Amino acid sequence: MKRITLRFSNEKLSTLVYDSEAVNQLSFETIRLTDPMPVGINEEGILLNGRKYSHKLYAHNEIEFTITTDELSTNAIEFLKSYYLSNYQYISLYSSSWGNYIKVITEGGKFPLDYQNDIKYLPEIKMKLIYEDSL
Amino acid sequence: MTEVIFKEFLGNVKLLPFTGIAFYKREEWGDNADANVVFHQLEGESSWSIKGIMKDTFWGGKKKIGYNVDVNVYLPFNSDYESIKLTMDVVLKGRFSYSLLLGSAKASNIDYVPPAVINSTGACWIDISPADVNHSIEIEQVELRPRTIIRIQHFIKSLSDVTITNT
Repeated sequence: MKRITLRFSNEKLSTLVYDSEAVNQLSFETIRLTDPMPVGINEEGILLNGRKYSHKLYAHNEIEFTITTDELSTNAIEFLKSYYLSNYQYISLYSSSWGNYIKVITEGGKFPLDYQNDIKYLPEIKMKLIYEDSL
Repeated sequence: MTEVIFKEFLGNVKLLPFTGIAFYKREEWGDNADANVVFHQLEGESSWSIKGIMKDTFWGGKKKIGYNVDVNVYLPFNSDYESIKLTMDVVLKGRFSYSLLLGSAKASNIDYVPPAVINSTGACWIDISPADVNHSIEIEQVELRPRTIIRIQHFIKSLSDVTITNT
């Protein structure tokens, strides 16, 4: 799994079936794309008798990808900025064919654009996406 | 299905020694004036290369992210030295692009005809349009004579920034 399609929308999609002709959508051949990994949030503590507890509240899949210079044209960077700022973000992962869209969210903070070796012409974007639905 | 076959190299290999370099000062991006500074009759040690910059991928492979261009121009020391230094340091202190002249090629729109080049069977320009380029000048002593070296090192994003023209 190396390829990811990003799609953003101003409204929630009515269907999650992949559409190769969709607008506001771009595919990337990343240099790094992790498999979805669960990240859990637990309620943890210790009782007065010393017994510890950890109660699982929920868990979400997270996925990380890196897109580097060769795919980061000016248009691609502008697309990724729009994607980062949009309210409805979706991904599709490629494994012999494009999978259904998955609704994801990005964390806040500065747009994750960095420059390799501090060279303007070597941009790189590392993004972490969190699945909206819990496991 | 598109099929491209490169063949018949035997007997058709062009000999194209690096014989000159032309610099074009750029006042504004996109301006490509006539050659502003041209050097002919370079030393044989002069060289140029364009090498891909590779980055490791998550899957153990490599991906190309750009190219490093490295040009070393060796000039014999003569009475022109002061003007070479002045030209490169003052006239071309800003932005410029350049063309490598291979074989019997000469810079565009100049009348000067360089002497015949031995071991050359063709003529070729290689125009490079870097986003940001500068040069350094070195002076060194080699046995009985000093010489000047102009070094240009920069980055280009893709080979579309390089135009090769057979003249």
